[in-house]
Amino acid sequence: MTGAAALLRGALRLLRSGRRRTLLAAAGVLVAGAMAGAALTVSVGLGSGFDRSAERADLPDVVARFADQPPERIRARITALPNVAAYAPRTEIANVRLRAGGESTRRGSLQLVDTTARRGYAIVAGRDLPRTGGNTREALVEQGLARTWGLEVGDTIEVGRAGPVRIVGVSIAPDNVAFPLATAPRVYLSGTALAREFGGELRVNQALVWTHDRSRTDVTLQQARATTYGVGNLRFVTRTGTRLIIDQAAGVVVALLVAFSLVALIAATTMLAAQAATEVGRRLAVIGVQRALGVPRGAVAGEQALSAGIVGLVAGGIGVTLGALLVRGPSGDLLAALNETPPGSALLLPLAGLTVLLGLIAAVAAGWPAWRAAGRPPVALLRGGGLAARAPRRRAGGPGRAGFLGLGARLALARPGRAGATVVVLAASGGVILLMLGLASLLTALRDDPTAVGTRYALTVTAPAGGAAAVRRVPGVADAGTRVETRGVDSFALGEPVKLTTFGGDVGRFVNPPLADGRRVQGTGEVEIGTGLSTALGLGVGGTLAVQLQSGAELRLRVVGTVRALQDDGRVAFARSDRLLAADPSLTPDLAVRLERGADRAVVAARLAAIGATPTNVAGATTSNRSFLDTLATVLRAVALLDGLVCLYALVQALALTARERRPTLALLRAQGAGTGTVLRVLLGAGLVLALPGALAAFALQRLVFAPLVAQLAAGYADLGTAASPAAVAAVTAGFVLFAVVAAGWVARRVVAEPPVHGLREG
Amino acid sequence: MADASRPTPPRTVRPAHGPVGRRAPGGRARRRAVLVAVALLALVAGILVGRTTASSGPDRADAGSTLAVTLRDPTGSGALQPAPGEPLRDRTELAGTGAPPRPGRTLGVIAQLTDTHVRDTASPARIPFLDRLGTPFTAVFRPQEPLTLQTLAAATRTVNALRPDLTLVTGDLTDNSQENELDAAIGALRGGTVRPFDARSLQGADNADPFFYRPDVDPPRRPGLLDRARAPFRAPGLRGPVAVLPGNHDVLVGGEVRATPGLRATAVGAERLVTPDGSFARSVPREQAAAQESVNRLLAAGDLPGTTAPVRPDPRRRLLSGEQVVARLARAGLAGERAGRADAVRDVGTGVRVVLLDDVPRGGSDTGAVDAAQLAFLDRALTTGGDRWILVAVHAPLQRTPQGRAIRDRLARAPRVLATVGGDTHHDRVRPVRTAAGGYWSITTSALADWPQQGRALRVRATAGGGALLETHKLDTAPDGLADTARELAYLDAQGGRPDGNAGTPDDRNVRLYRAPPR
Repeated sequence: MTGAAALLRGALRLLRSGRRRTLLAAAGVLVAGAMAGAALTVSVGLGSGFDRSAERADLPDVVARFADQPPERIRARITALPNVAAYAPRTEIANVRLRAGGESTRRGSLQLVDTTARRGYAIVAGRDLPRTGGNTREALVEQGLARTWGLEVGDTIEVGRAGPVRIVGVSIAPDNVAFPLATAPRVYLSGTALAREFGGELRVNQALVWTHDRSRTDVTLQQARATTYGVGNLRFVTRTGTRLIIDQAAGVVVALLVAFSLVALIAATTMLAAQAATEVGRRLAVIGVQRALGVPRGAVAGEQALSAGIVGLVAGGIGVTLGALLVRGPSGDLLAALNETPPGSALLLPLAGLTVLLGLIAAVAAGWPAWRAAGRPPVALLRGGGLAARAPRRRAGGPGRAGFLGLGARLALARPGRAGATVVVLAASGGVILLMLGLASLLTALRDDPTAVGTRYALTVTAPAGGAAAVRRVPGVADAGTRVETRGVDSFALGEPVKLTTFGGDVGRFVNPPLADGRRVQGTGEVEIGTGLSTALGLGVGGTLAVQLQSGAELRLRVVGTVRALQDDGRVAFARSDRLLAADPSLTPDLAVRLERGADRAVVAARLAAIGATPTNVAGATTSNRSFLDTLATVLRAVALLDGLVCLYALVQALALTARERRPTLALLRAQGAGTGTVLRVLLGAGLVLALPGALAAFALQRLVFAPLVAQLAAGYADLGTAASPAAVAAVTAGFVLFAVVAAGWVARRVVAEPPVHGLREG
Repeated sequence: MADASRPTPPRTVRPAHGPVGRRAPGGRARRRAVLVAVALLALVAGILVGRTTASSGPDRADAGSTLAVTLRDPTGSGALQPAPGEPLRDRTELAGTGAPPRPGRTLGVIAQLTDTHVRDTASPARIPFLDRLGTPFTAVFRPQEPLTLQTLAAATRTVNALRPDLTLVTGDLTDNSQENELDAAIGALRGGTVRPFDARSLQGADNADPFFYRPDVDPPRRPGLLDRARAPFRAPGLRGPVAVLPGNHDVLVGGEVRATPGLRATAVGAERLVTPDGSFARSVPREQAAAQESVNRLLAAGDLPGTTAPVRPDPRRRLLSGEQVVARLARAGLAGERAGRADAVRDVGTGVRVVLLDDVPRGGSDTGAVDAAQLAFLDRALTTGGDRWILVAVHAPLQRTPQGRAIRDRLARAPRVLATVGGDTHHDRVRPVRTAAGGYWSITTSALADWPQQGRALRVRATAGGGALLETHKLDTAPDGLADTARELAYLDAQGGRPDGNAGTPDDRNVRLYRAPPR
């Protein structure tokens, strides 16, 4: 205990002896802790948001939607299925007029709830509809609606023909994004009370199903498909499918923010370690004195480690808390937009763990170099020696052939470990910036550009005189070919709509959505189907798709691949035209037109119109997602900007350390008459030698690691071409150079403010 | 006309008696020789015991018995797991007053298999396409239907382990009264190489219809199952005496329709109806009997209104008449034959008589029911058994049989009728029938075609005071990869035995059924 107490006393003495430096170091740790805390808050909040919210809301494993049915019929069918733990019937009435607090919409979704059954939502304010049914004058509103319209428990909302009802609770269910991202706000009334009041039985059009074993939901669904006779317009959505739908809307951003958080954590750790090691560098003289006085090596290192650990723990803790508080609001808003709940107290333990980790990192980062330094002869330390033995110093007093920029570069590279760490931080941050810019562009493209969703043609035209050949000759047209698009339903009365798009010849010339399974269409009679259709029909590679066409004819095609297609909820199929035209000769082909890279669609459309072809634009993502995609793109660009500030901080830190270590060199330069401009050039050289490799590594990291990883993590519905554009790469490189200039200017001002004689005394 | 079976010798184990503890005279060499001989004997005995154990499991008598172990779904997830067996429960509704009498000696052991529905799934004469019309039709298709022969063979292995004095097969051995189905089923019952049917046209991955389970692509995925199901295999066959009664599916197409020239041509033809015309679907009456009649007319006409698929024509799909079915079963030694019917009497030992009454109408629906000659046969069988307890085996429960009342009246007058044993309903049910003569137990047993895919063991015992006790318990099929898969699929089937409650209640399965002495 005595040894530990002495160690603690020594550590505190160390901290007190250089209060200003301690405060500076604490500030650095605090910033790193804030970054890490923010990163962890975002990661935990978003990373586990769906599962956490789904558990809290008791989200069903399967939701079946169908045309109105007698409840007994549905109950009999569902209770006969294997693996069914519970079932709740529900009636959804769409396009109901809602009015409250001066706001109104005609797109409300009225949910009539069987109050005796499980609900599938969580109550976040007020109370639930009572199990006994309550009365028809009470309602729940979804959180998105309450937030957007400023509704609270006790307010009144007018619900279609039901008239004004009192809001008794606010609910949340992560089976869709929240209003207004979802266009139809949900209001819940007691179906039980309604049926009682009108003395009848409500027909139902939804069934919420909970299974005993979620991993065997596919078996339950298979049996459900086999017993759906007489039930029209049937659609199944599984909990996994719901997650996919949410991911489709926000998965790209969620994955990105989580990735960013991890990178920020790595950057914070690197910065913290560098900070602690620098502090030891500053205290070399003190260590030398201690060793000269016979203080044991372990005690010296222990004091350093403990003092850094205390700073890491206290400042890190404050930083982590600040970071968490800082992002709690935006993170909560994003979660609310996704109908997900914040982690709440579940976050406390990870944050505490992170604080301890920061303290440990600081202790190790300071203890290890102190241990190494304390092993050197005291005289070398007292003379101003470094942390490690070095090769004989080259003269650094003059600029040499490369000038002052080259001198700066040599000064920065003289500490290869620190230089490497700075480059790593810059590369990681730069990689994330590039990724976010790429993603923002992709989201914008998803909104407007069909090629982003696997459709390679941007226009369709009616065939002009001269047919496809005439269209191909138009400048800006890369390719044109016949296309037949029609809608049908599956032949077996499951009521699944199918959008069938066929092409004359190679399908891949015009569509290439990413393959989820199997292979591309290569011949007549083969088809690629969207994953939505695959899920609905339980149809996989090797199976047969049978489509009832509008003419009444049936078309059968062998499934060779499933593709991740965004359009029409993935209920799409791509094939060659031969079989379709044989089955229904009345269908008229048009021409799909693929544009040359960089060609302006409007210009090409005008040229096509001029030769007698009537062009039609091919749409991008579904319109309901447009505003959300815009929001997400803006969020991504803002995060990229914030990440840029991390790069600036890293550069300032690295240059400040270099300037501190090379104080005698810079003082000698100034003593020889060098002005602020010369010092600036030296420091700029040091900054550039870090910034430019950092930019290069960032580009490589984004291209080779981040982009493929995010494409895998994210929705997977689109061909995520997240590789940064040359413009983005140029912008990031220019930004890094600018940061180097700013950092060099900042540090140069501080260097020039100090009399040269102070630095010369250290030499 | 009694066709008495050979009594089975008593299976008692005689305790070993002999001189022990006395040292044999002679020198050390002799003693060593004796020790060596004992060691060798022990070794040989050990090997023999080891072989027996390895080949037949821990206890031959208990193999497949649900008294020891059975299969359950403890989590409700649809996954079956071995679970403790169900003990016998006493049912004393017909025991008279007082405590149940003490069980006495065993008079006979009988096994029952029923409703195996061996099925040529691709047959053009089948009607699975009606499933999609829903009410009023009940489901015809079963996901496990390519495995009916493997299930039957696994059931025979369980029955063989029981070593019954007689095995009853109470009807619906086949599904569609086709020659190829009957030949395959007879093969599985007699033993030898069995060649199952090809189910790929209905359940292959290239069938686009999601109403049918396609094991290569649908969960639970069992890639290659159809190929394995089609592979010929060697069935052990039933080892003891066997008596088969035909069921309505053995003598009528789909269990309902008498074969017509049009239907006969369809059965051996090259096209199968896949999707009926919308107009046909719309014209089907909602009332069940009328709907069935409408389909019967459609099938009888041999007309296939709707989308068809080609099938390989097979003359062995010939539709058999009731007389032809009984004749073939008799030729195979599996049934008696009396004027085209499988009526028979089998005496088991000196204490039990089994009367087999072929109660299936031959004309479809309610026509061609049990005739006067059969009633006379029944009268004779019930009155000539002496002190034997009588079990009456039928296909359909008597309350469902045309002229069943006449039969029930006769049973009510017979003092030594212990039970009726039937199938057809695919449900396990045991209920008492109280009569002036003391009553009898009505037992129906679930199908091998549907969950729970079990047979039934019936053990008749005397009780003190002149009464009788019928101990009955269910028999699981013996472990077999394909039969186990069939059971898994049967359990999952949402239109099958599980949701319909075919396994009944514990009072319908493993029970001791007491019967008071004759009045």
